[in-house]
Amino acid sequence: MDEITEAELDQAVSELPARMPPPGFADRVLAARRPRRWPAVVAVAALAAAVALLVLPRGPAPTSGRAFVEARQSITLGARGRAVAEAGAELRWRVDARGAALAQPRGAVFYRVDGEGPFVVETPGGEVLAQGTCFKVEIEMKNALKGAVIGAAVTAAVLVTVYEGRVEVKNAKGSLKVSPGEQARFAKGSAPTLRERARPALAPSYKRPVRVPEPPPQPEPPPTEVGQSSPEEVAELRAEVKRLRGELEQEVEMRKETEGDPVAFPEDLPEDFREEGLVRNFKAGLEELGLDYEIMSVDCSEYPCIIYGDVENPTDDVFKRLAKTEAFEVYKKDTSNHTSSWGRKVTRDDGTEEKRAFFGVSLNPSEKDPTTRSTLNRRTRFRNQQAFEAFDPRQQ
Amino acid sequence: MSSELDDLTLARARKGDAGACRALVRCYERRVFALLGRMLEPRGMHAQVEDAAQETFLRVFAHLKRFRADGPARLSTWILTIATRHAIDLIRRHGRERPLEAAPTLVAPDRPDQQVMGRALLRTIGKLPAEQQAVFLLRATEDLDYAEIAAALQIELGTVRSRLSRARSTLRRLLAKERS
Repeated sequence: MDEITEAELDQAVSELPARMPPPGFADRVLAARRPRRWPAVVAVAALAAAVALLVLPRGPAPTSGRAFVEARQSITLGARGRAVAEAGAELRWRVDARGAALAQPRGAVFYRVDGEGPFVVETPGGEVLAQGTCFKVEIEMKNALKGAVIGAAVTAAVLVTVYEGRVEVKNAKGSLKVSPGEQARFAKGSAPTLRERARPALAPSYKRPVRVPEPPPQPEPPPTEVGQSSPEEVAELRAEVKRLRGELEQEVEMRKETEGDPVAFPEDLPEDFREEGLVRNFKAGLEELGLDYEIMSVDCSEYPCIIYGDVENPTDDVFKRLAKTEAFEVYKKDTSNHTSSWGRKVTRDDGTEEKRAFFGVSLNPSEKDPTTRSTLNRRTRFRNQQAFEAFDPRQQ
Repeated sequence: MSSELDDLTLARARKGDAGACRALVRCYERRVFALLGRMLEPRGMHAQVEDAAQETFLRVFAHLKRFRADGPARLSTWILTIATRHAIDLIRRHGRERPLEAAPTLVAPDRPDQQVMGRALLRTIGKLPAEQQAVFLLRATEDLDYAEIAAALQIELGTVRSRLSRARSTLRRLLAKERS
């Protein structure tokens, strides 16, 4: 036996054949990435929910809602109290075991707080943290510039009046504790300041001993019209539309690159590459090899035709042997092909198993134009993939 | 050998930018396919190469935020490490399950013949144990140094040396047998 030297081994390494990535592989990876996120997100969400159920203290059932108030309205905030909102107010709330989180972008709302835990009202000027029971938040929208036209920039001044207990107001500029009978005023960009003492008569009907009648069930708020949306909301929606449009364009581009465009049948295509010729030669070739086979379908809806079928007991070299048969003599020169196949086990009626290989093969005269050749490759690969997904018995 | 991805594209890919992620795959796909092809095809696992490559990149994206650009490993080494470990897992599983092999691609008659020694080597590589095969390929075809291979496969430096030596000796013997 001749010795192989280290140098010869290195030479062989340099001649090692390398498998090449198929066209459009990067896009397939990116496409495969997306659906995976959802199971992960769902799993994490389910896990978080399960943990929350086990770990968090059991509180009252969570409640949330949103109201655009046209006439004074009393709103129950779960077990955490009640809000009485004046006409023109907008309020969003979520109450759960962790506390009550509210957002009041506009209008005047009186709050009566019950129970323990955080109770926070987010306003355009900052946060209001209830540490007591009754208080009122009023938001005044004012044109920033004197005599400015409608639609000009507006500022929101927030006025908090405390009737019982204590409230803390805070924003980026500072914080302030407000006691009963005091008022605090603040706005975005300016620290809260104490104002004149509030007159108790300001809100007699809101005092705790007076029970606020239960409001009739409220219909769902109507969809917000553009005119009712704040400039921030409109800007946010426009940004979302722009983002989605960008994603759609990217998706269309990606699909085009992955799926390719159909190619027209050449007018002078020889008969051996058309449906009848392909079926005849395939049958003859497979019979020549003595294989049990089935031609299941021939897809000639696009160029080139793809012939689908399966063969029994496939061996590694079945297609190589097929290429060498007499029936395939016509495809030995200037012919391109795409072959995809997978093996599977089939259980016979008598319970025994046999191995079969499902295949999809296209044959076409070699394409000289590199652009058309690349389009054909991409398109045929995509069609094969589609057909395999449809025929794959593992999917059925 | 292809160069590394630039830092800016890497940073964008970390944030999930689709264009940057595509650029990352395109930058390394050839090396990943070559390595996986040489690991899996000699064992008749032709059909699993593409899936394995896809799985490699999905794992890369899942853990890309953990990769430290200023750390000891190059991005290419890190990606090839993921590919190698995945291939070793597949080979071990393949050995247990022995799934039906997919038929190979029909060879076009006008396809140029590949180098004889290269093809012979590819056949014999599949006869090595998976761990030796990985060490040999990472050193001989991917040019990783011993320390990088040791880190990639989580083995001692001495083990890298001994596996490489055994792999080369076995391959020389098997190639000589093929030639005769």
